[in-house]
Amino acid sequence: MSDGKYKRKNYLIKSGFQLKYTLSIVALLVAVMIATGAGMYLGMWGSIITNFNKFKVSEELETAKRISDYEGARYQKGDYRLEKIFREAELLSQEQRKALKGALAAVNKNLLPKALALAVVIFIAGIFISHRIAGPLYRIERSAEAIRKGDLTVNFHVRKDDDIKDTAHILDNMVDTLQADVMRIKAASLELEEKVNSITSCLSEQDAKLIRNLIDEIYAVSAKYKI
Amino acid sequence: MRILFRLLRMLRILAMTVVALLIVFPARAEEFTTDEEFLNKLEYDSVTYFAGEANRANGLIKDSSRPGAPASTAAVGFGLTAICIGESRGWIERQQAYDRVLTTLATFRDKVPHEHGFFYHFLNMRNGDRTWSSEVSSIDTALFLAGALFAGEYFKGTEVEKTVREIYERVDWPWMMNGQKVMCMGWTPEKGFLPYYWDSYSEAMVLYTLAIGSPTHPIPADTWFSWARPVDTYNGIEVIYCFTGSIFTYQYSHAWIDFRKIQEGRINYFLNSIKATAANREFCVDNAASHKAYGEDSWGLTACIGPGGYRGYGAKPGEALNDGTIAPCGMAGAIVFDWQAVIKGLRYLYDNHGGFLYGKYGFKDAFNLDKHWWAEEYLGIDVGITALMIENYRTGLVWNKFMQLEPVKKWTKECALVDARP
Repeated sequence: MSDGKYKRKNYLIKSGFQLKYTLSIVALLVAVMIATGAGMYLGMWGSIITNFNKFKVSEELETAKRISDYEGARYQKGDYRLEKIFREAELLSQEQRKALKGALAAVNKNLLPKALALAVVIFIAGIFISHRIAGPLYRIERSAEAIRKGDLTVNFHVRKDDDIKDTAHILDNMVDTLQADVMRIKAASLELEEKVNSITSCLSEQDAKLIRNLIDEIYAVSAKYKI
Repeated sequence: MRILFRLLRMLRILAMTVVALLIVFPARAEEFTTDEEFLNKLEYDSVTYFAGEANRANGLIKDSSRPGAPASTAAVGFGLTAICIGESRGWIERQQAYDRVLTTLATFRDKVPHEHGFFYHFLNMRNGDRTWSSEVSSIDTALFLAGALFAGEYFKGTEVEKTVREIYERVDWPWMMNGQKVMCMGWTPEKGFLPYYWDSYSEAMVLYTLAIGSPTHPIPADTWFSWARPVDTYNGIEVIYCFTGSIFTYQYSHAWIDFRKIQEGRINYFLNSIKATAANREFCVDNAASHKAYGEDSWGLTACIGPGGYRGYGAKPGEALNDGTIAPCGMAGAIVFDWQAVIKGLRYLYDNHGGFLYGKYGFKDAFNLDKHWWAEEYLGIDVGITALMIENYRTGLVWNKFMQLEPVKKWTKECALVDARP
């Protein structure tokens, strides 16, 4: 077998099978990407959003201010300038929230095209990968069809790195066996014809005709096979 | 299309009119034929705070109804008592109340961080961890323990009583004295003991009671006499006063301890609170011209949320920080000291300001008519003192149970406090 002879020319050799196979992979991958994305969003980003959202930050600052107020009331150390500090902290947190929002938007903006590009790459890779199965399958189909028509000289050509080379080898052995059997049937039918000719005088005309018809049928069937 | 626009415009005008009417004429308050009916509603609504603003998984109770508020150790103390009150009145199923109390106590025994048995002032509602930089607080621990011990007495002979004992008996009260003659207010891991001490009359009497009554780590009985009892007068009313003049300082210890029965030499703290209540009311009447909310039916200056945040408002005698803010809990907590004035005042607030001031947990924290300001939130300790004092006024349940406790008996005995009743 020569790899050069069977060099890939058409990568979409079984387009229906390959597209179905590739789209299944892409669909699975998209599902994994969505699940991962959702997990990341709800987990990491969700946690950030929950902890840094406007209300949460306001609540935390309000809690801090309230505790400071309580201490002020209880220990008579109230410093009401703190209110200004908390207001400024709130303003600062607004800036931080804005920055965080920007960072999230940038991440989302980058993630989507990258995910799309990844899907395209996976699709192309899927065609290549599926071809490793679809190519040999195509050749096996063609060889099997030739065998069905009686050509027992065909071989199941696959490349040495094809995944189904063992299957092809078994099929080749099967064809070799068939070829040998057909040859034996042909030889046996010749021998049978000679024997029948030698004993024709001992047979009734009707039996001789019947046997001759059977021998002709065996000839006709075995003659169908190219060996 | 034109008809549709006209219809939409009419609907808009109608909606705006309804909103305007609601602002001008807020929802009419429910009418009560008797004071008992009114008090029952107020007590019930106040108790429901401790069901509605709690984490059912661990029993922690929010400091306030504000979203994101942490748990308050003191509010849990009030809550434990309020839940038992709810059970006694048939508002909460017994098993449900028992389970809630036990869950709360187990959380404090096993999960909430403590220092020598003392708890932090504010806790994370989810896991009980310290919130922000709050301090390990002696008074908040005492208020929690008062509520817990009451619950232990209420569910006497059960796992609740056993759990309470474990929490109470591990408190190392002498540690909180920091080598001084009086109890320190608190401690932080960062700075150690705070430079503030319970060295004068205040809400801390219950703290000293529990510290002296401890069966495992008591402080000396003479500590009771180590804090100052400053005396001042307002309008001729002589009061042993707290320096802030906040009315809650004359109420919190009285929520559990029945001071009617206790005489300390010539001092009767129940009588002192009656006088402080009268002084607070007179202070408000005297300043009614300066602040719209003040009056003979609207008084009780106390620490509460104000337009600028939480402040230690008070009346004279004392520093008397005030800006026209009134907290209804200041009056409600005084019901055992002057029930006539308090019920009249509370009903006045309900009838006149109920639309803005009254909600699902009873009275919201405070209001200030000078600044057209109304609190949106309820504070756990404020609805707590309201519920406990109303119950004491109605049945004496909290007093009766609490006074049965061995630590209370030990305190009265060791401090030679005598029965004041005739």
